[in-house]
Amino acid sequence: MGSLGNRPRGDGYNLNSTKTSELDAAEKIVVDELAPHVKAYVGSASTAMAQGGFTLMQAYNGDARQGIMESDDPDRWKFVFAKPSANLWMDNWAIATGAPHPDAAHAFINWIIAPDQALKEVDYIGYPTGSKSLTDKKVEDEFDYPELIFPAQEILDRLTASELNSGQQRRVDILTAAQARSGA
Amino acid sequence: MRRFAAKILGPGALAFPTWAYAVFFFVVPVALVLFYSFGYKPDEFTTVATDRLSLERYAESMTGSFLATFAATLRISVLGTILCLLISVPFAYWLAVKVPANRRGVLLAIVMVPFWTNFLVRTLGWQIILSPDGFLSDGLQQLGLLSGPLNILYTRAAVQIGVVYNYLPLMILPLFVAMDSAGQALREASYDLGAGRLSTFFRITMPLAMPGVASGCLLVFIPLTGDYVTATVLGGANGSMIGQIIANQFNTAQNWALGAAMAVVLILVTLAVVAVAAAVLWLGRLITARLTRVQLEGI
Repeated sequence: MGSLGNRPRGDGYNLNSTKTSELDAAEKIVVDELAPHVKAYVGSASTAMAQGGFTLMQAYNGDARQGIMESDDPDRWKFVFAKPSANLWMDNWAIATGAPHPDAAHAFINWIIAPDQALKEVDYIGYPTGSKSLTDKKVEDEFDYPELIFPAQEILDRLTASELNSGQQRRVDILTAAQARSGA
Repeated sequence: MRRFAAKILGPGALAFPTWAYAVFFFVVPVALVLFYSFGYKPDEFTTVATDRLSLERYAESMTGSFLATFAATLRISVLGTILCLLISVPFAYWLAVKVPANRRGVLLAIVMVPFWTNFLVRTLGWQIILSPDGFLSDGLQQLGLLSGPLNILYTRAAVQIGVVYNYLPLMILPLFVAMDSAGQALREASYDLGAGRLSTFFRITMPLAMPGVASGCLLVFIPLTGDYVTATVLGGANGSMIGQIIANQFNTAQNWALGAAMAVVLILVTLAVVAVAAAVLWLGRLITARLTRVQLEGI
């Protein structure tokens, strides 16, 4: 539910909006219109897909791919990147300030982005990494459902990276209100 | 002051592990939560500041969705405690009174075995059992008891099942101890005096087991009200509990002040419910004692 902010349909609001009027409008749509139809807020989309009981889910592409690949009936599912925008999420490898063994941390990161491991990792998590071995476009065809790992450039262009800004508290409040209102 | 020092260094020192545990793992954390609840969140990258103290976070926490989820939580925890009690009383009675003493150890161990597994793993197990594509759902459909897939997972019913399962041993054990020590001799005396089984159960066994009932209810109700794992794993949208909302404030919103205020409200409401329940029980006992008092003077 990190991408709560992308709900304001086609009205052109940025999902990182901090404007009260836009967040009010988003809350109305999310809490009053959407929430009553939501059955659950689950941490792992792929697990929920395996368990059954859902027909429509909002999920990150890599999680969805994992769920589709593990499903007994993969054709039951189809993934679409939301329009007009959606959350572009990035995870990072970070070494904490004052970490006791930065060399070991660098060695680990070098290992995991080296060609062999990088491909295995991408295949498992379902998201591209910063490894050089992925710069060759031909590599993409080696994966199942490559279109879910490597979205086309025009899709990437319309996505929005989330920001931690002063709208965060309000977004959590909207999520809380939505959860209290949900239960299809 | 000197006498205090003598106490701490003398007999107090012997009890060091006990009071140190209480101070560092209970008093200090709760005091910190209380302190933070008067603070505020100064900016996006700081979780709490306490240079200006106020009750504003308490006012801020009292939103409609907070209160609605709180009411839902209390429904789940009160019902969960009652269900645990209803299941545990006959089981503990059977275990303490009917089962031969040499088999009790094995049965108690079976009650305890789930406790050796991690709480989260135990709860995740119920995801598999209750899943619409799971073996229970398939089995019930094959037996013709269900016409469609089982639709319990991610509902309030799933949370209710999960909490009863998770907290049941905490009710069984104190009840068993209370009933075990509530003398066989008194029960036999009751039969000798002409009381039937039901009468003996309600007038001898249950009154003697009341301390076990009280501690069992406390052990189940208090942690259940603040439970966050069961609701997150099994709850879906209409099984949300207050613990999740508090966790949202700490994790997602990074607003420790508001989360702390909500946690303090949770502690106070839990204590209030326990106090009200205790008062009602005390009144009930007072009234029944009045009504059933035996007059010996006339004999």
